[in-house]
Amino acid sequence: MRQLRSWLPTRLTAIKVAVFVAIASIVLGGTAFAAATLYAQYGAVKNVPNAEAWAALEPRYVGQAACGSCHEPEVAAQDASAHIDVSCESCHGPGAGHSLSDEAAREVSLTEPESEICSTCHATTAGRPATYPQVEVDEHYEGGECLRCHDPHSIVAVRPPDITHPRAKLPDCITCHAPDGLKEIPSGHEPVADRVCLSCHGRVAEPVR
Amino acid sequence: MSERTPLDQRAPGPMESPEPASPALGSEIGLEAGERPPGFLDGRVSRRTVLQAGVVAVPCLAGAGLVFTALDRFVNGDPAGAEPVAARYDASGHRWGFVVDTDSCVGCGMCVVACKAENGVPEDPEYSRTWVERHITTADGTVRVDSPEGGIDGFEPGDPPTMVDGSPVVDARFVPRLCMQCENSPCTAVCPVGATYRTPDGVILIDEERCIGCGYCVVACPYGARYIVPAAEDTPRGVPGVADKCTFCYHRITAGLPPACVEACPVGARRYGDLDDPTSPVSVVMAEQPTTVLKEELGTKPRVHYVGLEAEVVS
Repeated sequence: MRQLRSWLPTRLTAIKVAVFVAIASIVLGGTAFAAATLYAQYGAVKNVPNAEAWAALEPRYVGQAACGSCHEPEVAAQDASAHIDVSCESCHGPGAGHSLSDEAAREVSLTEPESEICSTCHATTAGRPATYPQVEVDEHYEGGECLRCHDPHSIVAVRPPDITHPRAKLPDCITCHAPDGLKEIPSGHEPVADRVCLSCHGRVAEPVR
Repeated sequence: MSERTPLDQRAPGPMESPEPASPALGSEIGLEAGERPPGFLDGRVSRRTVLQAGVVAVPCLAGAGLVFTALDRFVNGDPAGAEPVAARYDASGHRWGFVVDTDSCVGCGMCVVACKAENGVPEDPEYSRTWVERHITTADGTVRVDSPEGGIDGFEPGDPPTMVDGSPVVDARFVPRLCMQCENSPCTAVCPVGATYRTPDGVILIDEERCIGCGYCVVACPYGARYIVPAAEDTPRGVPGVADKCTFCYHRITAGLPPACVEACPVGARRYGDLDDPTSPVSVVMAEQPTTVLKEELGTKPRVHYVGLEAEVVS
């Protein structure tokens, strides 16, 4: 006891410091631990806190294969054409819900008005690759009704205006359809050389009148 | 093996003095001249000294241990709480990459349409996860960039210009843009709350519950790929006011589907796949054609590569 009494005053400062350091260590360490434990409910900094939630979103674009399971002829025709790389949903919009019984959800519309959707890709535009098929729409065909001639699913011009008169044993088309002829070629028509008319207009069965 | 010499019998080294440096120094701490402080380096460490040291050291060590445990949990998370990205999907098995072919892009904007529809991105072109720029380069080296409405409606038809401001046009092409999913990403580095992070398969995502909408990441991104979702608009996950950007359509790629923009591109100008798989569309293109990345000098290591693009400064 005597020893302690004589020892205590000389060591009092050191003991105070030591006790302070010990208590501070426990308090700070405990606070940090508690804070990290509370924060951990939001996930760790390095982990993937909500990747699971991102991965759980529902796709809206269903893909060509899903479309083809019902619309087989269109997909088959397209796969045989230069539009093979064009997804159905590029023009028709996302297909999720289209197969549902709910009428509102079933609706699929073009992403652009019909008169504009072809020129979105095929109008001559600065910046497009030179080899890419582009037309000056107004010069190509006045009115821009692409679908009068072109079937977008096969791209070939398989739907020309019907020829409403017999064609057999007649002279070249241009004989009557030249300027000032019996019926002029529409002014917006693509410039054509003689004898190529039937490459488009001959694809349909000749109607008989 | 030399025999161990007790400390106080050793010959004094050059830095050691057998006596205290000066009597005055010893007297300041209550010692007679020549007397050593007890308990230190003299082979007479008392039990009390050991106990005293222990009384201080144990709580200190315990405190330090708690701090390190807390730090580890803060950074690496509770190991028991780590969750897989999805039951159907192993994130560690992929290294997703993207190739944009500017030689093929026709600037139709269908990718932008598809992205907005798929991900619920606001209509306003100010908010875009992907957009299409047109770069017109003239002989004097100037690159003029335009991107009307982010390219969502395509570009105004017209013949390619041959001259701009008296300088002949040497190149005109469309450059689709999206998040580069940088391997060395400034956005994740600056986020003060750890809300934006990189998945093991290489996609940078945002935790909308952590994001405080401060916009640091929006400013830090050298590619302008981020925006803050405006009020009254919903992100796909339903929280306005937080940062948003391209996720490579994480919900699609983890389900084996291509991103919506890749699905919608009519000319195959956007390719996507696993950089570790030599048969993936991106690997095939990158093996066949030279590719560049945007702003390579920044060292961000983008996962999006470009075909047909000269190394140029892209704003």
